[in-house]
Amino acid sequence: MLPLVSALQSLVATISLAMIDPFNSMAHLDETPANVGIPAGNDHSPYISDMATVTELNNVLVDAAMAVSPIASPAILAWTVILQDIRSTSSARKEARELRQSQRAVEGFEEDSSMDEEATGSEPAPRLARRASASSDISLEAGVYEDILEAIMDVPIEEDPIEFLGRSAVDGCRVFDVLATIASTGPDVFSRSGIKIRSIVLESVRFSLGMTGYVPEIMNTVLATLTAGQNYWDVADREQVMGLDHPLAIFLQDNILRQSFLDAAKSRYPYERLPFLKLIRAVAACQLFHDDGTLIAVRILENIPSFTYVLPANFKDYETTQEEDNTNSVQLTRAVELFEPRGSMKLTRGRGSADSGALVISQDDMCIPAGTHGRIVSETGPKVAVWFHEYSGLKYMGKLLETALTAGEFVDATTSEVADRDSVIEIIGLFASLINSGCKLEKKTNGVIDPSGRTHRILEDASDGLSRNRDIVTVIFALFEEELQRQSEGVGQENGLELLVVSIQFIHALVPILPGRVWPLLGRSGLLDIDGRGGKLSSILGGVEIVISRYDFVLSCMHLLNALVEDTATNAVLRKSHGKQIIKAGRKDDSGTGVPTAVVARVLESFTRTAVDIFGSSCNWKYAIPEQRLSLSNLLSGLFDRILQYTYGVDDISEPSSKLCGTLATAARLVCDTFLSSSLGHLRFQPILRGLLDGFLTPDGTYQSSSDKSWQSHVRSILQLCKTLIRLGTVLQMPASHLENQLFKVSPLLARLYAVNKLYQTPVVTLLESLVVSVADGTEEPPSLLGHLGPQTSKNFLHMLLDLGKPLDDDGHFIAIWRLLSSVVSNRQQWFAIYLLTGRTPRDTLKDDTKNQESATTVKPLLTFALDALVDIENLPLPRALAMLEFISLAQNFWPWAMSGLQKQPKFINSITDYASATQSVPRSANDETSLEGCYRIRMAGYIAEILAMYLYHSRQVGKSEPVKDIIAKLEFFKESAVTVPSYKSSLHGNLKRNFENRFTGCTLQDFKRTRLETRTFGSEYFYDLELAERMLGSDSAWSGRKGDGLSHELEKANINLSLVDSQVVRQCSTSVPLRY
Amino acid sequence: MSSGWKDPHVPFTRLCGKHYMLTFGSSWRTALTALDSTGSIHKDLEAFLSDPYVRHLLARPFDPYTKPAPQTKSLFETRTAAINITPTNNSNYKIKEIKEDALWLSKEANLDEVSALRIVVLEYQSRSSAHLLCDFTPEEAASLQEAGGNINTETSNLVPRTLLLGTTSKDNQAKTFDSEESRRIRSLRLYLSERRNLLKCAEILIQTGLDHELAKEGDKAKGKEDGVQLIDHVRTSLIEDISNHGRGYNDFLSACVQAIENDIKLLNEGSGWFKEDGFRESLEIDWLSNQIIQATHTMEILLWTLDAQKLDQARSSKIVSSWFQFASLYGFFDQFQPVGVPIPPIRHD
Repeated sequence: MLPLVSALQSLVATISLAMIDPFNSMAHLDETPANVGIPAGNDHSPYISDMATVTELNNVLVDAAMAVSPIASPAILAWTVILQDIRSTSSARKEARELRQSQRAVEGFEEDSSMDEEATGSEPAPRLARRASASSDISLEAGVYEDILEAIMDVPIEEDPIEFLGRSAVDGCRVFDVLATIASTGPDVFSRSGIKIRSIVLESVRFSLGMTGYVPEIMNTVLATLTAGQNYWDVADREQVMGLDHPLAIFLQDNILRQSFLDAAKSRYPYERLPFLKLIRAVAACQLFHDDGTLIAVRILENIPSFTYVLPANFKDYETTQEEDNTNSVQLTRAVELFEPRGSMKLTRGRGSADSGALVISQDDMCIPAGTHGRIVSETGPKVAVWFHEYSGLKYMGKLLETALTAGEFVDATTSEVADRDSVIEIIGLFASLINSGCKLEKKTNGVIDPSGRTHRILEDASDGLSRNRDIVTVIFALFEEELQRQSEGVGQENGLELLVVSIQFIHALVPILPGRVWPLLGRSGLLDIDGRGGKLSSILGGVEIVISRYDFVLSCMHLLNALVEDTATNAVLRKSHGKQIIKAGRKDDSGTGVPTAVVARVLESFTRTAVDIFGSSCNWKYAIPEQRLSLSNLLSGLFDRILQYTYGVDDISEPSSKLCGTLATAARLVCDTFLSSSLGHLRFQPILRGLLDGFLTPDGTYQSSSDKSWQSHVRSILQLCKTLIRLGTVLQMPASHLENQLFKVSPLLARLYAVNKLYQTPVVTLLESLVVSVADGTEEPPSLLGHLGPQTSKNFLHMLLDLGKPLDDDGHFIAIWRLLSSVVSNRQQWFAIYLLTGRTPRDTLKDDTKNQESATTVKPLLTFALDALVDIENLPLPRALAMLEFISLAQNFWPWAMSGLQKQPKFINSITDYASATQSVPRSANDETSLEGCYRIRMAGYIAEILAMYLYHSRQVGKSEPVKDIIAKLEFFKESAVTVPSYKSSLHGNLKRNFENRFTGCTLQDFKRTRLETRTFGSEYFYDLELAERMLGSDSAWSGRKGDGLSHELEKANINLSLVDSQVVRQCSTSVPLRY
Repeated sequence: MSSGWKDPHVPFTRLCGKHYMLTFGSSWRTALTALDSTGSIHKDLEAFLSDPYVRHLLARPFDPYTKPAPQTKSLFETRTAAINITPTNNSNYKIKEIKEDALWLSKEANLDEVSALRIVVLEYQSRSSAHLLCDFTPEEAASLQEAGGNINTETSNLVPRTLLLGTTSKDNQAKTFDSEESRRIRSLRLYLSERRNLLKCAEILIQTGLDHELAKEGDKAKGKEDGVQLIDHVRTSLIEDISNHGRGYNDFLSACVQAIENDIKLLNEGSGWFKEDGFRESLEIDWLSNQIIQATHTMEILLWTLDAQKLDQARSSKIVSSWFQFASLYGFFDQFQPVGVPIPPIRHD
C-alpha cells in the first residue's frame, strides 16, 4: 500500500505540473494578440488566457502554498515562474509601448494614415497583414498580461503573491527535493512510465532555471532525473535502450541544460568536486557517443578548459590584468604544480621544495604554466581563482587517485592533501562506468568504429600521469586492498564499504577487456580465501554487512563472480589453445591466455565456495532492503546453474577438468556436491525452499514496482537451478539425492506455483518431469508423485494442465506438459499414470462408484484428449503432434489395457495410418526446412508404427481381422523406409571436423556435443551446442564467415542432418515391429 | 456508458460442451499477461483486441460495466436459457447456482446481469487455480515444515508462519471452498481484478500507441523499442478513438479526471458489499486498494495523454479547472492515508 500511495502522490504532483504546462502556456500567451479578446465561455479555450480559470488556479495554488503542500509545490513553482515571466514581459512591454507611442506621436505628423488603419484593424484585413501588425504593434499591448497580473492579486495575503508562491515552493516545501523524490520513486523508474515522469521533471527544472539559477538543490534534482537512483549494477548487464526522450538524452542535447549544469559544474572543478564528478558519472553510464565513436563523457573529460581552486592564504604569484575592465582578470607569474611530492607536506609550501626536490614532476598539463590567464571568482574568504588551463580530466583524476595510496609519493598541491574519500569513490565509480559503457558500445556497434581501442585509451589516459611503475589498474587495486584490510579489521571509515563497492565495479568492468590483468590480481588479493588464511569477503560480510543488514558489497562481489564465470566460458577456447588463435584473430594479448589455469581455477573455486556458503545462510539474514535478498538469491542461483551448464552441458566423454571450461570443474563439482549429496541435511535446501515459497507469495497486481520483476526472475531462477541439479544427478548417474526427496515433499508447493503466475508454468512442469525421470532409475520403488501431491492438489493441478497452455498457446509450454505426462506414464508412477489415463484416482476406482459417477477428483482423461486432437493430425503443428504421439505410444507400451481407449475414438487409427502412409523419404538434396520437417514426420511415423503394432496385436487377440487388412495396405512407406540407409552426410561432417579442428587448434567438435542435461529438440541446435560455440568462437572471422557461410553455418547444417539421422535410426527400430504381422 | 450487453465479448453459447469455455478474453488478467510478455504477439490476442466491443471498452476503460436494466435482465434470461437447452452429460457445473450467483453479483456490485454472468462463469472456470492458491492443508504444511528441516518458525524468517498454519482440515476446506459465500467473495474479487486489469491493458496500449504516433510524426527511429510490439492498427485505432478522430484529447482528458474523482470519492463510502450482514474485512481492504490502483492507472493514462496533447494543443480551461478543483479538494493528497491500518498487497485473483 505504501508504494502505491507514494506512486499516487508522485502522479498527482506530475499531473499538476503537466496541467500547467509552463512552456507551451507561455508560448501561447506570446502568440495571443492582446486586444483580440478571449472567446468567452468556451470550455476548450486555453486556460492561460481565460481569466476565470487563471483566478481559480491561482487561488488553489495560493491555498496550497499556505498549507505548505509538497505535492503541489512543483505546480506552484511552475506557476510562479510563469507569473514572474508575465510580470517582466508586461513591464517591458509597457515601457516599449510608451516609447512607441511617443515615437508614433512624432511619426504621425510625417506619415499618412494607412499605417494607422492597419494597426487598428478596423477593416477585415488579410491574415498576413494582421499577423504582421500583431507582431509589431499589438504584441506590445500588455492586455492579457495585465489582466492576469490583476487577477492573481485578488488573494487574501498581504505580500506580493508571486513572491509568496515562490518562497513557499522553494523554502517552505523544498520543491527541488520533492522533484528529486518524484524522479527516483513513483511508478517503476526503469519503465517507460518512469522515464516519462523523469523527463517531465527535467523539463520543469529547465523552465525554472531563470528564477533559481545554479544552486546545490537543483543539482540534486537534475542528478535524480538522470539516474533515478540507479547504480552501476542496475545498468551494467542490461542492454540500455535509450530513446531521444530519455532524460539523459534530453539533458545532453539541450544546450541550456548542458551549460547550466554540466558546463557550470565543470568550470567549478575541482574547487567544487562532487557536483561535477557525480554529474559526469551519470553521463558516463549512457552510451551516447560522437560520430567518431568517442563516448560523450570521455570527450568531456578529455579536455577540461579551466582549473578552479582556492588560492593558498599567501599566494602572490599572479598579477591583475585589464584592471580597467574590473573583471578581476589575473595572470600567473609563476607555474603552479597540481601535484607535489609528499615530503614537502611538512616543509613550507611551494617554491623551495619544488625547486630543490629530487622529483621533477612538471609534466605538461599537470602544471599550470606561468602566464596563464585567469580570474578571481571569489574574494570573500579565501580567494578562489579560475585558470584557463586546458588539461585532461582522466589523467588528472588518475593522478589524484594515486595520492590516496598509503604509499603514494604525491599530494594534491592545490590543497596539500591527499585526495578526499568522496572524490576517490566518485572517480573510481566514474572509471567503472566509462569502461562498462565503452564495452557495451563496442558490442552494440559490433566493433565497426572500433571503440575497443578507445576503451583501452580511457585506461591509458587515466594512467598517463602516474609514477613509472604504476598504472590505473594497480592504483585502484592497491586502494582496494588497503580498504579491504581496514574494513576486515573493523577500523574502516564510514564510507569505506562504498569504496570497496566501486572498486569491485571497476574490476567487473575490466573483466571483458583486460581479463589477463584481473585474474592474477584477484589471485593475490586478500578478498578470497585462496591460501587458507581466510578471505576478507567473508570477514567483512560477518563483521560489517550482516550487522548493518545491508549487503551492497557481497552483492557486488557476486556480480563480479558472475562476470568471471562468463569470462571463463567466453575465452575458454582461446586459453586452451594457449593463445595460438590470437595472432590469427589479430587481438591484443589481454585475454588472459598467459594466466596459469591453476590461478583461474583456484580463484573460481574459492569464490564459488564463498558463494555456496552465502547462498546457504542468506535466507536467514535480516535485510534492511528486502529486495537485496531477492537479488542475491537470483544472482547466486543463476550463477550456479551456469557453472553447471558450462561444465556438464557439453562433451559427455572427457573428464570435467579436461573439458573446454575445465577451469570451472572444481567449482562445478563443489556446487554439485553441495546440493546433490545424499547425506547433507536441510541447510542446503532451505534457500531453495525459501525461493519456492517466495514464488507462492509473488505479488500480483497491475501496479508493478521494479522489485516485482526481480521477484519473478528470482523464482524462475530457483526453479531452473533445481531442474539442472536434478538432471545432473541423472546424467552423472548419482544415487538418489536428498534434494529429490525434499522436492517430492514440497511438490504440493510446486503444483501451486503453476497457478500463481503464467511465467512459472513451464519451469514447474519441466522440473516435475525431470524429477519423475530421475527417481525412476533406482532399484527401490520411486516416491509417488500422486501420493505426495494428495488427491485435491493433484486434481486441481491436472485440471490446470488440461488447459494445455491456453489461451496463450505457447508451443514450448504445450510440449513441456506432454513431456511431463509421457514421463509419468513411462517412469513407474503407476498411480498417477492411471489417473491420467482414466481420469480417476486409484482411490476412486477402488470405491464402488456406480452411484457416485462424478467424484470430486474426476477429470477428463488426458488420453482421450490426445486421441481426439490427433484425429486432425494433418493440421497440427509438427512438434505438438509429435509430443502427443509419444505420449500415446508410451502409454500403450506401459499400460496395454489403455488400448481399450482407442476404441472410443474410431477415427484415430485411420488418421494416423493415412498420415504415416503419406510420409515421404527426405531426398538427400533437401534444404534445411524440408529436412527438419522430415525429421518430425519420420519420427512421428516411428511412433505411429509402434502404436499400430500394439493395435494389431490387440485386434488379433480379440479376434478381429478387418482392421489388419486396412492397415496392411497402407504400410508401403514403412516397408520402403525400413531398408533405406539413413541420410548421414559423411562429407559434410568430415569437412566440418577437418576445417573446425584446423581453425581452432586444441578443441574438437566433441567439445561442443550436448549432453542430456538439456532436452534436445530437432533443429539447428540439436547435437552441437551452437550457442556456447558462438560465445567462445564468435570473435573469429572464420566462425561467422563473410556471407554467413562460416563454420557456424556448417555446424547448423550438421545439427539438422544429425536430427534427421537420429529420427531415421529410431524409426527403423520401430517400423520393424508392425512389419512382422 | 458502455453498452456491454449488446455485444459481449464472451460467446456464452459455448458455455457447455467444450472444456475450455471462454475465448481469449476470458479474463483481462490473461490479456495483460499476453500484452506484457515480450515476444511474438499471439493471433488470438490481436483478434481479441480488434473486436469492436473490446475496442470500445479500451477507449473508455474507467467504468466498463453498465448498470442492471430490464434489457440486460432479459438478455441474461435468454442466454442462460440457451445454456439450459444444451444437452450435457457433464453435471460438473450447476447452472442454477451460476445464475443465482450472477444475479446476486449484479445486484451487489451494481453491474448488468450479463457482465455479472461472465464474471461468475470466470469464477467457475478458475476454481482449480483458486483452489491451488488456498492455504496449505495440515498434511502439506507438515510436509513443507519437514523439508525445511522442522525449523522453529517462530524465530526463523525462513518459512512465513501464517503460510504453514494449515489449520483447515481437508474436508472443512472443501466445504468452505464451495460455500455460497466463498464463491461470491471470489466473484467479487474477480470483478475487481477485471476492472484493474482492463485499465492496465488500456494504459499500456495508450502509452505505446501515443509513443508510436509521436515516432511517426517525428519520422525517426524513436519509438521503435516499445517493449510491447503490438500490431499497429490496434493501437492506431485506439488513439483515434481517444483523440476523437484527431479533433483533440479534451473529451478523453475530462473523462479521465472524472473517473479519478469517482474512484477517490467512493473511498469514503466503502464498497457496500455484504452490507446486510456486516462487512468482510479482507474483501473491503481489497476493494479499497483496488480503488486506489484504478485511480493510479487512470492518472497514468491521463499523464501520457497530457504529454501527447502538449505537442499541438494548449491546455483547455475546463480540464485545468476540473483537475485543480479535484486536487485541492483532497489537499493534493499530501496527507493521503486511505485507512488507519497498514494494508497488505493484493494477493492472487
